[in-house]
Amino acid sequence: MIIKDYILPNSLSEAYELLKNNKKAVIIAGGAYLRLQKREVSLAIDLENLGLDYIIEENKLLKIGAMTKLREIETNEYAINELNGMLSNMVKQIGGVQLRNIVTIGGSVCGKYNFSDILPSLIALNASLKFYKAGIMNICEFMENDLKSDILLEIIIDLNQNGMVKYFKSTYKEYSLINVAIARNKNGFNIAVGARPGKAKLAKLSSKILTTEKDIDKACEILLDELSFKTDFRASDKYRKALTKTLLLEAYKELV
Amino acid sequence: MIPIVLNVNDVNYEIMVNPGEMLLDTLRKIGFTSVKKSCDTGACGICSVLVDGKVIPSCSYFTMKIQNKKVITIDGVEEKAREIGQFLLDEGVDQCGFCTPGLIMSIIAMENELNEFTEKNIKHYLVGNICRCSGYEGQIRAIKNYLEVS
Ligand SMILES: Cc1cc2nc3c(=O)[nH]c(=O)nc-3n(C[C@H](O)[C@H](O)[C@H](O)COP(=O)(O)OP(=O)(O)OC[C@H]3O[C@@H](n4cnc5c(N)ncnc54)[C@H](O)[C@@H]3O)c2cc1C
Repeated sequence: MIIKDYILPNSLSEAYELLKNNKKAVIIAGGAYLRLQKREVSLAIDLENLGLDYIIEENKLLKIGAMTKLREIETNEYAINELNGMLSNMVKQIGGVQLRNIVTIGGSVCGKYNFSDILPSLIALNASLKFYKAGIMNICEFMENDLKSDILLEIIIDLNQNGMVKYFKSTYKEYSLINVAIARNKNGFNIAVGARPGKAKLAKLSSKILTTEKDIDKACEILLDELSFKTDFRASDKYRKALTKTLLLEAYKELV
Repeated sequence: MIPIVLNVNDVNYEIMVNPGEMLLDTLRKIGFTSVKKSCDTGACGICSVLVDGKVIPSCSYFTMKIQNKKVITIDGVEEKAREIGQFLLDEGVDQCGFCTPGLIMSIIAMENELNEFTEKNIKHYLVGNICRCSGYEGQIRAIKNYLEVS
């Protein structure tokens, strides 16, 4: 990536003005994924100095700043002790410790990567995203829409629920061949599957019919039908479907 | 080019960098060739250095982020590196030696960060350090010997 100018703003308003006024400007979070792209950027706006690196709990809501590094999430007490450790588990096999000391949750959300180990869990947990301009937005709504000149500030997760994530990697820190996340809140279950390899999605129908263990086979059948599974160089669609079935069952059993 | 102050091993360097320059390239440019370049994508751990005590792949870290932070390369921890290096030598896992500086920096970060050194913890912490001379079993033995765990 060729960068013409690089600025680390000291305030959010400055960062936003720069972003709004430069059509070819790009936000840099960890920068680890962006740098791999072949493109020319007139202005890089680095969010490092904006104080967006924090994890706080308030009235059973966990607020994670967009610039929080994945290693900080992995080792955070709330991430480990709440939601069956789901938040810590979702990040702990993303690259090595070194990479996780650089890459951020904000970059992982805004990148909307097809291989994401993070998006399925955040979708299942029905996370809210707080943006500088757009305010609060539900993660599913965000997944369906393009992010237009805005800055993600915070990810908000309700801890009054339970969750579990299961993924399969061919080696310890390889990209996942499939990622299955399930959460249970007062309204029922939410199942999301990613790395199919398409963008992580909520399995709406299958989530709805799941109430007790006797529904799990049916829920799985519906899920395999309502979401698309594809073959790529990592795995075939058949293999991914078989993995989904096994992981969903495991996740469900460990959750309830 | 942008002027910056880069603190490496407690010495300030006043240098000019390209806006999109990565820390690995900057370090090598000013003479820290102990920091090796390999995958250049953040996957192999060979270019690991410490930034404010945290181990990072310097290939994937924009130099512009570094102002007011402290970088430590293996040159800055010579004595400790020699000590760990001897344990690696004793198990014959120095081999080609290309990945050793990065591995040693990660071992130092691990020693500072973890409270408990089980084999599982060690492997989880060091899985980001790849060795193509196939020395993992020996490496684990050497690291356990160094940490005095069985
Ligand atoms: C070697 C390697 C292996 C990886 N393996 C995995 C894996 O197994 N599983 C997995 O899930 N992920 C994996 N990742 C991806 C990684 O976890 C991060 O998601 C990725 O690096 C993006 O995070 P970043 O902080 O580097 O963001 P950047 O690269 O800086 O940014 C990513 C995108 O988001 C935008 N952006 C960032 N922050 C904001 C914000 N606050 N507001 C608005 N826009 C923003 C940027 O403009 C850019 O378009 C891997 C990455 C690498 C380099």
